[in-house]
Amino acid sequence: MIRDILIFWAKEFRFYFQSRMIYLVLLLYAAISVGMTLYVSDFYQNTTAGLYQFFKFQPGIMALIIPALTMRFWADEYKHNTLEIVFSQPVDYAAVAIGKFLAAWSITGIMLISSTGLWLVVGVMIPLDNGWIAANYLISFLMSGSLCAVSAAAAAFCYNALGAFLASMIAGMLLATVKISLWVENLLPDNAAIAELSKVFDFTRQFDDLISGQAGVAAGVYFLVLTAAGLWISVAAAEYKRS
Amino acid sequence: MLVVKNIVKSLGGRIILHHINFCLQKGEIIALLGPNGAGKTTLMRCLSGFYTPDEGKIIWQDADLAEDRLRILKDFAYVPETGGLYPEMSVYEYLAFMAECRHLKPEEFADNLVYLTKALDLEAVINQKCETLSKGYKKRVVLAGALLSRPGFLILDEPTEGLDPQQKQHLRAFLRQYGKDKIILISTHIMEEVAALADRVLLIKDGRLICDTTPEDLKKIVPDNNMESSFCTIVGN
Repeated sequence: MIRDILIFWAKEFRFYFQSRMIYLVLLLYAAISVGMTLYVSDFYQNTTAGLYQFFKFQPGIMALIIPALTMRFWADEYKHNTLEIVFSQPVDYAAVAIGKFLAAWSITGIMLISSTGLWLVVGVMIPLDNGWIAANYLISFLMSGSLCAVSAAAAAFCYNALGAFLASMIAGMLLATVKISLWVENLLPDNAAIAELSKVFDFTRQFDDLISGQAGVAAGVYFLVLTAAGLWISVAAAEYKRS
Repeated sequence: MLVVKNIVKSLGGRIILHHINFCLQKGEIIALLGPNGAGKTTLMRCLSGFYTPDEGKIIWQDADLAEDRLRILKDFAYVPETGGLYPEMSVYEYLAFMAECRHLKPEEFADNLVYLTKALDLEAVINQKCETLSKGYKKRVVLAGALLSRPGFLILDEPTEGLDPQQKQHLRAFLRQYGKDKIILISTHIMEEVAALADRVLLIKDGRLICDTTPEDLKKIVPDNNMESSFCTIVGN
């Protein structure tokens, strides 16, 4: 199983660079990330030691960019009729889906690494908490994995790249930008139990709490569970479409 | 030996295959015939492990495909009618990827690569991108990918479609040689191919196996000893 996962990870990862799409994605990510940090946030007035002004935009930016990485997961297999070939090989269906997911997740890792220039430049000008920033990078990587899994799950229900892109983007944007707990608090102001429960499922809240150092292991578990759920749906959808 | 026992397969609420039964022996080249929509592709997809039958069993050397899928598929290979290539890959990259999927050792891959590129005349295009290949080359690259592990059961959907007469002849000679100690199932509409290659004919119509015979006996169904007329007679009735 691990070997099969690595085969498909390597194939997909190579494809990103062969298609040159990756350079556009990296450029777009860097431009939006730096642009939002410098011109939309209060970066110049109130730079925090943990670079909160940079990390707080990451869920929204990732939700925008990741669909470009996952949209062709299954659409291209249909387009080129390679699904029949792949699924008649002695490989596990889950290994194919997980390999594809890991390739997209690896690209988000490269995206995050490419943004460390900002950390270095700001670090020269003002004192930063490097340990905190490193932890925030790890948290962002974990969060991007969840979005990759959700995006892959949404893409698995579509037969063409455009449909997969739109479905992935809508799913990602809903998850990464809508503050569910605020909605629930406004809609049900007297129901403290439901409000409390909604905080558990609130993607942005969990991420904000983690990067500002207010949350613990439970928030990390939330992203891992979300990733596993996304992957499970993705595998189930691929199997359903096959049969 | 491959045993197909009572296979039933539905798609979109419609029964495509109705209780199909047959048995294939090593050394046989079998032509799968039938009108469009008869269920040939569905049957081949079931045999290739792509579809899981709703009922029935596919047994390969005493093991059930449904229970031992990953082990059995190492000995099966399927070439679909169209597509099957990753356009961004070169021929070599595609074959290397297929070898990885089939868990071949590097030395096995190297040996088979040399043999297949020579046998299927792919040496000239080995570094070329798949998207730039002609239809005939594409077909042969997919076939080479399927044959890398020298599978015991080879399933081919319209294998000579898009090939020029010389390539057809070359491929048929290759398949005759390969099929001496393997099982090859070929779906085709070309009766000339059935006559040139097959030892046995399976004819399906409306998802039912209606005829299991030899090409010679199939011809004898009509007075003019013509396979095409025999096919039309059986299918028409």
